[in-house]
Amino acid sequence: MLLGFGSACVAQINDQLQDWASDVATAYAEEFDSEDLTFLIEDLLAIARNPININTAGREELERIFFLTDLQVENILYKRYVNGQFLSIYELQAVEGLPLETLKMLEPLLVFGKGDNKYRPLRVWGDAFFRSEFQVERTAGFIQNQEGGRAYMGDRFKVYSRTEMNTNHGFSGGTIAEKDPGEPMFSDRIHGLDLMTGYLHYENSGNWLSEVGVGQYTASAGQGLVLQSGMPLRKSTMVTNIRNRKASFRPSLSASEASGFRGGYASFAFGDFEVTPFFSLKKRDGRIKNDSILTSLREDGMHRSLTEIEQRHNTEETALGLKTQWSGKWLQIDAGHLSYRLNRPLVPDQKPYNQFYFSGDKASNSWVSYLLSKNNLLFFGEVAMSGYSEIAFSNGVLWGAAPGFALAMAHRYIPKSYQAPLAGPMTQSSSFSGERGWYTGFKWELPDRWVLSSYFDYYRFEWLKFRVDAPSSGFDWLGNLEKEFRNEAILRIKVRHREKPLNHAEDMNENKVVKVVYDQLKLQYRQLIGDGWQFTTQGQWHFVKSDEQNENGKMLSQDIKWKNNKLSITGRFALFSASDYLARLYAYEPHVLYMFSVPAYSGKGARYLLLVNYRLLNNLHLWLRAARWQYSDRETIGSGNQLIDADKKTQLTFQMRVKF
Amino acid sequence: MKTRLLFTWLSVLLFSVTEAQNYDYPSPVTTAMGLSGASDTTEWSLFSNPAGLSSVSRMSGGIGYHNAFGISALSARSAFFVVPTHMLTPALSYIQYGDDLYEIQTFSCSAARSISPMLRMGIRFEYLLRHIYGTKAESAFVIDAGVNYNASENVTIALFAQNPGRTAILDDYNEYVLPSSLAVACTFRLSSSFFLTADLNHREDLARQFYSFGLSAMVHQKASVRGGISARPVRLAVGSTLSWKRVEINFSANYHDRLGLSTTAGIAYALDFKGGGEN
Repeated sequence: MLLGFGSACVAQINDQLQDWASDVATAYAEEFDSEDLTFLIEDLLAIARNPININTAGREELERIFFLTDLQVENILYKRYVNGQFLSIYELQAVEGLPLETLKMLEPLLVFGKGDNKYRPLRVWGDAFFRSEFQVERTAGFIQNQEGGRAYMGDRFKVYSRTEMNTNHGFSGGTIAEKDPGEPMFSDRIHGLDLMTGYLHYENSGNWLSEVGVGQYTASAGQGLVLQSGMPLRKSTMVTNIRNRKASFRPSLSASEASGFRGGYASFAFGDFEVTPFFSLKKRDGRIKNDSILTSLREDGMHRSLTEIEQRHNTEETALGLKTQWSGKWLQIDAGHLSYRLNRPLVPDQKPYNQFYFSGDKASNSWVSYLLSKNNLLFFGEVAMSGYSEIAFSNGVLWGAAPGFALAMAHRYIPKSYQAPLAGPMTQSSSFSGERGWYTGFKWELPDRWVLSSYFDYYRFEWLKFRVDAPSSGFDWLGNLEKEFRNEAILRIKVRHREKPLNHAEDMNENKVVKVVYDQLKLQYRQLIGDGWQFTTQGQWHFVKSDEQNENGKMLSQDIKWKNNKLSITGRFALFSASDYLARLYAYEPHVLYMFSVPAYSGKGARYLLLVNYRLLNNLHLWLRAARWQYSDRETIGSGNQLIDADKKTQLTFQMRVKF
Repeated sequence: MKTRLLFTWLSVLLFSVTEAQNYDYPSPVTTAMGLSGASDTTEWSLFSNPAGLSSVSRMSGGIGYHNAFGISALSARSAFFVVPTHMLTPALSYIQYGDDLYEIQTFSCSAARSISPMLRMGIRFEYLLRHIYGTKAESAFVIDAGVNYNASENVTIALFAQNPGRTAILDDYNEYVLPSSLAVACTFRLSSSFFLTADLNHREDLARQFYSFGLSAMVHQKASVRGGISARPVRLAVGSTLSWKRVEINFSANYHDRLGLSTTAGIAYALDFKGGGEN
């Protein structure tokens, strides 16, 4: 069965991961409107460079592989406990609920040795990426105004460089440098590039000092009710992945300037106990009114205009905390405390809906979380406190209820006065205070290679929300059906129905709250022909209905991919039409290695894309990507400094990767 | 003969329409899964799809209580008695709904029978007596019917028609239409202790459909848990069954998006007498 496995080539993993992660990436893109979703696979990148030993790995290590479900992790651990060490990937076929596709993706991420590398001679390996992006059409920010100046201070290129190295003695390190289009570099305003950071990391699981990290890192605990410095968990077609599995500290080279910690942490292990003190001091961008009042913290990381540069790094954010953890055979408990400080108080503009948002210059949060694994049940949860008074809960269970049937259920309750500025739980709203909800999802492997998965999420807000002027409720239902044919073809059908509360008319003293109904349908058919060709056809429809408007969006796209040993070429042509931004569509797009692009298709027009990947040498890979929006319903694109005086927008990307 | 009987039966089931007000006691087993009751195969099925009665093997009796949204005027009390025999499974039940100001009492007689290893059917005759404070009592006669069909070893399809005759209570001033609906449910038995049910209930009187999805799992020899979701409106349901010797206690809670929580409880006692059925 596994004869088709290729060598452990990271580029091949990417092909499969791009496919696997497309739905997850789309779920994030719909919410965050971001095209930079590298955080999704940052941990996987690290594993690809330094594969996990399947015979010594604990639950936490296996959980870093995001496409493994909790029940699959449990089944791997159970099989190893019963049968002993795995000798090869072939033996993993005997693990219940681990399909062949998952094994193919796992292979490059695992090693099957017994031993420890640290007594071997020092070996160093790693890779370096250089990426540049350029938009052909000039935006208004780059055009000289009447005074002879330009709004954007820098050039039109995006520059990204990333280097990471590992050793077989537990040491690793990395650096990242990045600047966005319009940001000046090596100038008197920004010395060097806009983002320059890195990390040093040491890990030795057998030692009392089990882990030390200095520089940029991510931290997460429990279900994210207190601490989630990266992106929070979101609902997706991986319906049973609802437990926060990033509950640890990891070094990071994310280019997201607002998230993540900058400082250090150290983990001390005493038998089954582990204690981790951590610290972060980070410069943030803040909007300041009347020269002193901080009204909000910016998340976009853009420093192109004079105003944006003046806001750059004008606020200091400090986080100090301690996490303790006890791991038993089937029970794991962790508890901790976090102290958060800003060097100036945050005073948001007062609106009825933001009355309970975080304000002031400090916050204190504590948490206790648990993970209980017994038979085919996995219970998890967290209880967290804000200011020693407000208590929030998040609890859930994952259950292998019957052969081929997995069930996930979770409940959350967050009081409206609960404040945790570094939290990121899995909730409907990103401003989660005052939300309670119930999530149920299942994955059902039907006969004849059909897989049905579905979730239902019901939520209530006990206070007003942005553009919702009353306490409200809503729900989100998703159904996903996949069929794998014997002739290397896959059919996917996804249906999503949402009912969300929204104001009927805005900017009035009193707004009526109505339910807006969103219905989405996505059909995708993928066919492999021979070794080199792959055809993907996709259609999407989006209908939005409320008391006052009916909008709809639709798109049709065709991808063609051809590859041989050295070269691969991917092309996409898409036609789309959305009557309103509300009915926009999101579609995953091929991108250069480790980039995930999920742009919003809004308006009316066409999308063209060409991606070429060439392996020049064994350790030198090149990528070139060109993507264009061609609109037929407008003569200009965007607004403000991002305005383009044309009906098209073309993006060029070049990437080079060197392995050493 | 069986084919003719089945055809006649299905014709009766498909004539269902009207408008209405609920007056019944919902089965605590199926409300725990958010369902219409079509798929019920316990003794509590005599309050929903009577075809489920043919699965009952022991003589049993019980009482139940239902409270809708915490309002006592919308509560119902019930009592029943089932006597399975090899020929037929007859049952008697009584429901008292409402309070002193508005009350409906329902006396019913149900019967169910397996007509083949794959097909079971049941019928219920109900006599309703309505009392409104200060007015004279009015009555109505209602017939409900249903079938259960084993499509395969693990899949069962159930069809249930409530009040297909569109009976109403008439008084000097108004016509109070009683609920009329047609429900289809499909149950998938994934293992000996776990099953899923999908349910579609068409309420003609409300001119809308209710979709439900529920699961039931035996977590211990003496305990089962259930849960379900239904839309629209959104309702979340949860419930359990505890068995101890001959006593079985059912409890369910059903949460409505706007109206709040409803609870149902029932206790049943099984006697030694065994006369047919499967459970």
